[in-house]
Amino acid sequence: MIRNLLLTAIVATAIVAGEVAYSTKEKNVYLEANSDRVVGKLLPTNAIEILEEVGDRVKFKIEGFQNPKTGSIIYYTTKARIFSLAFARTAEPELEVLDDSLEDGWRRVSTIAYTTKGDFESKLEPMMQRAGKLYSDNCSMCHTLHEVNHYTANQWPPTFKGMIERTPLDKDDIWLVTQYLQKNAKDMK
Amino acid sequence: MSEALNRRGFLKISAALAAVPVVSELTGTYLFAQEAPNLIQNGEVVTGTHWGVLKVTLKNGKVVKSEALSSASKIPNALQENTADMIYKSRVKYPMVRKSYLADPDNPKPALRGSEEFVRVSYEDAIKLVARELKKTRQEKGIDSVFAGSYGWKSVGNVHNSRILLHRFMNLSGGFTGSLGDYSTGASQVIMPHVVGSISVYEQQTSWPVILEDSDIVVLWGANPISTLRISWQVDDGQAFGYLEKLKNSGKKVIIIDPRRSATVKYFDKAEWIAPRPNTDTAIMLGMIYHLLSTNNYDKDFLENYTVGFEKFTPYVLGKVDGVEKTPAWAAKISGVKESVIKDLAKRFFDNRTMLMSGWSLQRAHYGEQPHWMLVTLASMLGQIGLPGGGFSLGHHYSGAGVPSRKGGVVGGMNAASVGHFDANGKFLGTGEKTASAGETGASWKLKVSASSFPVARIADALMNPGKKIQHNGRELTYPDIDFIYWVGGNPFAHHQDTNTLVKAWKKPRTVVVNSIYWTPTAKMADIVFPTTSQYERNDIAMIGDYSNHGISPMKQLVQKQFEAKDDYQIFSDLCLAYEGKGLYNAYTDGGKDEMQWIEEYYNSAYNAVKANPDLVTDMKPFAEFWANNKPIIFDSTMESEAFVKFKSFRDDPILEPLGTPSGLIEIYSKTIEKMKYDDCFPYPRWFEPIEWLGMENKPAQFHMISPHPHDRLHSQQNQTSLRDRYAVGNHEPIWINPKDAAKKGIKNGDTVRVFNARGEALAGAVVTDDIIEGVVCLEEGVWYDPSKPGIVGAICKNGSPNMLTIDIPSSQLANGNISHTALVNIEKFSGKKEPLTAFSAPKGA
Repeated sequence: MIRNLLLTAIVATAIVAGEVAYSTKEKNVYLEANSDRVVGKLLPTNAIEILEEVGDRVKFKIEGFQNPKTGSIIYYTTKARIFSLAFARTAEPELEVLDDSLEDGWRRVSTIAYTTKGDFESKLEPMMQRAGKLYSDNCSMCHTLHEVNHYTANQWPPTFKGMIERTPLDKDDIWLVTQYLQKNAKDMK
Repeated sequence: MSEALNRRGFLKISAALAAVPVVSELTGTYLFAQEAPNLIQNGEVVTGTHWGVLKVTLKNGKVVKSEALSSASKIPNALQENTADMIYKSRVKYPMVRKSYLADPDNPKPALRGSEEFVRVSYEDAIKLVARELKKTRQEKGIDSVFAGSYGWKSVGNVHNSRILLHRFMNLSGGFTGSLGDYSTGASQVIMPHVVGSISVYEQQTSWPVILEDSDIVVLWGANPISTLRISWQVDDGQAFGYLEKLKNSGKKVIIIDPRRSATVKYFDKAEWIAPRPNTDTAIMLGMIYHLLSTNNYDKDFLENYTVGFEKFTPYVLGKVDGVEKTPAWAAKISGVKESVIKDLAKRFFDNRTMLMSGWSLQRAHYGEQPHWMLVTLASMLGQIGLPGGGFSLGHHYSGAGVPSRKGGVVGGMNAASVGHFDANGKFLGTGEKTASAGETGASWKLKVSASSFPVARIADALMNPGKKIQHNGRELTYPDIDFIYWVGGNPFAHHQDTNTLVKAWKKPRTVVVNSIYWTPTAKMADIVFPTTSQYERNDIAMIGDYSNHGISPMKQLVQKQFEAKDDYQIFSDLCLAYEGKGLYNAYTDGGKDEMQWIEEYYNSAYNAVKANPDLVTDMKPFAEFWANNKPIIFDSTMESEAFVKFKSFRDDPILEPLGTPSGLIEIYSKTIEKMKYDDCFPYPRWFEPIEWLGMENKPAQFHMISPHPHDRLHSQQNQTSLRDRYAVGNHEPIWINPKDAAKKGIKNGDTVRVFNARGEALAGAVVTDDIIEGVVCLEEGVWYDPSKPGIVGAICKNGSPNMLTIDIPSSQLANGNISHTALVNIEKFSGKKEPLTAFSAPKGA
């Protein structure tokens, strides 16, 4: 019984230190292994590198794009507001600047933080396909299904948010589908 | 015969003593039992409709009474009373095929469409015919030659969602051309994402409790909620009327801007009524903006922190771009509203917490992209966006936006599936990535089949001009060559502008198939007509309250299917069998599910979510009990939803809650639109003179006709009911004409008048009233087109449809929206011979 549970736990995590992982839903982010202060959110479908496990948390590293004009938010790209790790206004994460030669004040950065274990997968494609199916299953009930490239990456989050209350979509899937829509949007090809 | 079919067949045999299921020898299709067992013969049944949850009384199996199950206000809704007429009147009884089409589908003489008699056929023959001709069209002309956009308001119900059922069939069987947008918000739904980053028109709005608490002034600009809140896209929750009552009793200042004294103006009898010329609202707003600018009464901080582009817009206002200063005097000359009123309104809006509620009539006009963009600009200067009770709303007049959202379960619903793939022998392979045709990935295939969609109101243009390229929201679209039309749940011969042009365009495709409950003008223009069930002849389930998610309504079957009417679901299931066979059928029906299985599945989506959430206290019962109870489930609102203020989260934190625009802020100037270089939509909101309006030189006709949403219909739904007896004048649609105008024309109240211009003519009944201003006439839309010579371009409409007179051009290249409120017409007393009305009668042969 215990052996089975352990096996399940190992299989379920299946994410080991040094590997790239993608979360399947929005996850709380902390600056310390044992802090309860939530300083930001890690959004699904964004690559992180697992550094080590610390208790029931994982220490991870994430790279992305940041612009001092918009605080400490780490974006997926400079082209649109796709959140990778959205730090709160009051958070003060340490950001390592990898490249500050980009235009308009943008920098490529990385940071190290903590989040909870679980809800990670090692491949991106399966969760993107799930997101696509959730989108087409739930968003053609009241109106014709819009092509994903109908809106821009910036338009999708509030557009989608304005609709989801009218569908049976699970709250846990909201950010997964949002990121899917943003990354396949009109201006992201 | 699949096992699923056999099993259900067995169940039907044991359940229904009378009906013996029959398998057609010709098509192999299983003919579902027409007779439903256990219908209540005497008693009350609850169902949900666009106009609310109803309690319907049956006597000896016939509907004898229909009323709301409950009311949240004393405001009446006559739409709720007509269930009997919606079942028994004007029904299509049998499958019909137009004579020449039946004789030779390859040379069907489409010029005779609408005028030629119909021939009754068996259901199996109709199914085989449609399947064969659809396949042939796809093979010979390509997938995009099949047009199945099928716009319309259909019936509520998450299983028997006719348009989605059509799209599901068309997708699985290989793909089709659809349409973009709609006729309700054609212009605004395209401009608003550029301005505020999301669609705006179909979003939840600031809650009514907040408005009743915090607003000082409520402006209804081109909105008529007393009429429009009678209906919802889902089951109407009836709650918004309660809030209108509270608003009336609150003593708050209500200001209504509308060329007519609508039902709303009459209801708010203490309101200020301001009546501008139609289509001049953008100019009025500019006059206000000029006044606020010149008196320095505007919120510079809000503009600085929450908007971009104001400094690029002001030169236009101040006359630096075109030499014309957009002063209140300038606006008064254009709109007919006094300069002092324009100045006074602007100042009062600035000095008081003002909620600017705008209806969609403003944007259903030439250059319809401008009014709501200008409204947001005005609201930005007032600086109250995101404050309780302040800012603007494009939704409070529709489907209960502003009624606080409930926390509960949301039922699932039929979806449109995905594009199906077939092998070289026509065998259905499935819809996944792996099953795409050789050489194509699933994604590229999908893009290919959907690339031909076009703006919904360009239907006649597309039919007449295949291959034509148009600009739409910054990209170029090419019209497909349409050779096959399938329409369900809609009535384009009621809703589309310039009916005569549509009649002409409609004759272009080889095949037109229509599923219809009634002999609507659209059904009369088809080649093949399937009689379909009304919602009252089948079971279903729906949500109550588009924005409130107020609850879940059972939709229990009231009466037996009338004549040979079949559910759209059955028709498309049988088409699957005839088109390909069991593979396609099983994909379509998810292994042969019947309506009750779907209903239970959709109910359980909500039930499981509610049971899994310890915060929800609603006592939802398992499905069987819910269905037996036949009562709606009602959910509760939350403190948060009662206190919801639109744009508050943006105002509080524009970095973490940016708008969906490139800048994350409100865009008074749009670089995206600038790049499009359109001459009919600039990078900032502007006044454009409409193609026809009262202020033009050399008017092609005398009066400006507005055609608002009707008080006593849902668009064209219910025109055929006895409710019409209350409003028809001389057996025509009533037209409002000002007494001074009527006197000059020798027209008296009750006279039959001919309404005409270069595009067409209609007969209407004169209502001489000062409820409409001079120079303007009002003829409500949703009238069943009744040509004196069926199918003939130029025939007069005996019922009084305003779309005989409206213009079929796009609002602009940005949105290509419909412009029904832009039209000039002439009126004269009709002294010819009156022919009998045939709008609601069956055509020749039927």
